[in-house]
Amino acid sequence: MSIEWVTIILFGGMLLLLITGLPITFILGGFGIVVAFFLWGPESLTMVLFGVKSVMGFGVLVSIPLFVFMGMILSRSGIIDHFYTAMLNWLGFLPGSLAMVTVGVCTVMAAMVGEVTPATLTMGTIALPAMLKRGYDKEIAIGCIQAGAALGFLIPPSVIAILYAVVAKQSIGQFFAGGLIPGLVLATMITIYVVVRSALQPHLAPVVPREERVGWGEKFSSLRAIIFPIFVVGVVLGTILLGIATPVEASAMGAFATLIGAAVTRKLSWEMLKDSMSMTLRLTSIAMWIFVAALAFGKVYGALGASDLVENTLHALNLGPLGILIVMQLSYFLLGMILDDTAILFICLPIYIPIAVNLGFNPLWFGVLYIVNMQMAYLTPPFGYCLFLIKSVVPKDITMGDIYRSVWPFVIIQGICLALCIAFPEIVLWFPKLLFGLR
Amino acid sequence: MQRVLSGFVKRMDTTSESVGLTVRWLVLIMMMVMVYEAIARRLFNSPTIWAHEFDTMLFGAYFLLGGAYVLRHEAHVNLDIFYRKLSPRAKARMDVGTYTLVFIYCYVLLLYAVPYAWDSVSRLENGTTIWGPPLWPLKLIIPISVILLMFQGIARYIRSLYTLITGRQLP
Repeated sequence: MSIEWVTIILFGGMLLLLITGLPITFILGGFGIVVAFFLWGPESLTMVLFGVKSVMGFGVLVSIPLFVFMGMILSRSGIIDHFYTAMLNWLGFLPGSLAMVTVGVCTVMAAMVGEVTPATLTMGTIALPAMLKRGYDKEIAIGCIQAGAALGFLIPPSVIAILYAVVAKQSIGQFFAGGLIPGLVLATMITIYVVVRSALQPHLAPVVPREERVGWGEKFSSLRAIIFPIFVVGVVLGTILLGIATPVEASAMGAFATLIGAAVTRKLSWEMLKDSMSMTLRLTSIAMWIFVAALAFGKVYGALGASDLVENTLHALNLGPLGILIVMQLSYFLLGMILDDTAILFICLPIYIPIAVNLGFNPLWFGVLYIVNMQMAYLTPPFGYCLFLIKSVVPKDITMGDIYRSVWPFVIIQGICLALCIAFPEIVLWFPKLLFGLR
Repeated sequence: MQRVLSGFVKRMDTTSESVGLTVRWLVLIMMMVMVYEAIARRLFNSPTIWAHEFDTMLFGAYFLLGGAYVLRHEAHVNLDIFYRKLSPRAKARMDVGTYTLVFIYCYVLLLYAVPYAWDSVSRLENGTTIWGPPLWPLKLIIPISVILLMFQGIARYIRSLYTLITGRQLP
């Protein structure tokens, strides 16, 4: 059987199995075994244990449950509530202030934790009721929460950046540095959008009435609430970027500090702790079992030379490097509509990374482009991580249809941000170059 | 018959659940170990030889044993845009077909994990690092986790099969 046919069977079979609703980890593991068995016989099956042993050997992955745990505690503590109120006390007079503050708080949370669940849940329970109460248009309200929360995966620390760096055998610190500026650019673009739109269409986002604004005394006393978030950002992000602590140490210190912060705001309880630990185990286990199976499946890819095949096909289309890059980004986008970031990472990147290296793309830039692209994947219907998360916290009268409609302006903004990062690689590379003295 | 099946499924659910509820605590231990290491290294300039290695070992046990717990809550990531819309019976039919792959995966994992773990246990293997901790308990956890996962898969399979045949949910 020729390699073309094997590849078609491999991908076709995988797509078919995806549709059946079987979890991705079992598709990659089980189907990978079946394919390997028929192609190379039983000896080839040692690859299965290889996946388990590899994942157990990557010490840096310890930071993943710690970042997730930190986020879980943070979202259940009162820290963010106070922070939100403080920001609002100062910025309440601006058009679209609640939406703007929501994005701002999301950005700061993104610099504390490594994924999107904490910000979606916290903002969904604090900011959304506040916005709806003041007569905000529900699509702007839900949309800005989701777009803001998605920043959690772009602005470092970021779980997906850790996974990507491990898969691509790159430095995690550099990936964190590379995601920072695109994250801040995107956060700024989202903020500008909500402010401009609120200024142009005030009925969508009414200004906070003068009599509800607080006095200077309260403004200054609420400033206390911003000390802790800034401290945590310093502990976690500062220490990693300056090379003082490893990502694992920084995640542990951050989680520990957050636990203390939750105790100070008197929100720490047995129930909350146990609940956070269960969620952490779940999210970590899910990602790691996919990783295990994907490593085994990647061996099949590698042995087949699937990467060469895809590369030859792309070259045959005569697209040139930029064209190939755009095709890759489009494939991420389309897959992002139906799959989540981890699945796309493990399915596409073992094939794409060698191609990118051959084309002479900067591997750091190429990796960060993937992470920027995934911002859209969390939001694009029908399957987007943020869509289902937010559904679990919104009031009953907001339907899935409302949520689907709310994301489009923000997906367009994210797409523009991606295009900017492609057109101007310095957005991604400037900061890591500055920090690590790369060429 | 139905009572036997129902009993088995419930027993598997509770086993996976209690394993999950136990190992979830490991995240606190991993955190405290690393906080201790960071403080020992930065403030007292005396890094441990064991902290990173120990945490890596805990992490292995943590995510492996969590697999069955995640399956019990049906939380493994899947593409459910089509699956979600199916009737319970059609879902069951789909599961009965696709879960073959789950069992193939678990079986092949066991095929290699059992000898791998047994080799380590039979000579009470220690690590080759300076710290040199016993490695066999961790290696033993690999087949144990896979067996737990497989039995949770069997429980799910029985439930689906029951729905497919009788059209009702297994009580």
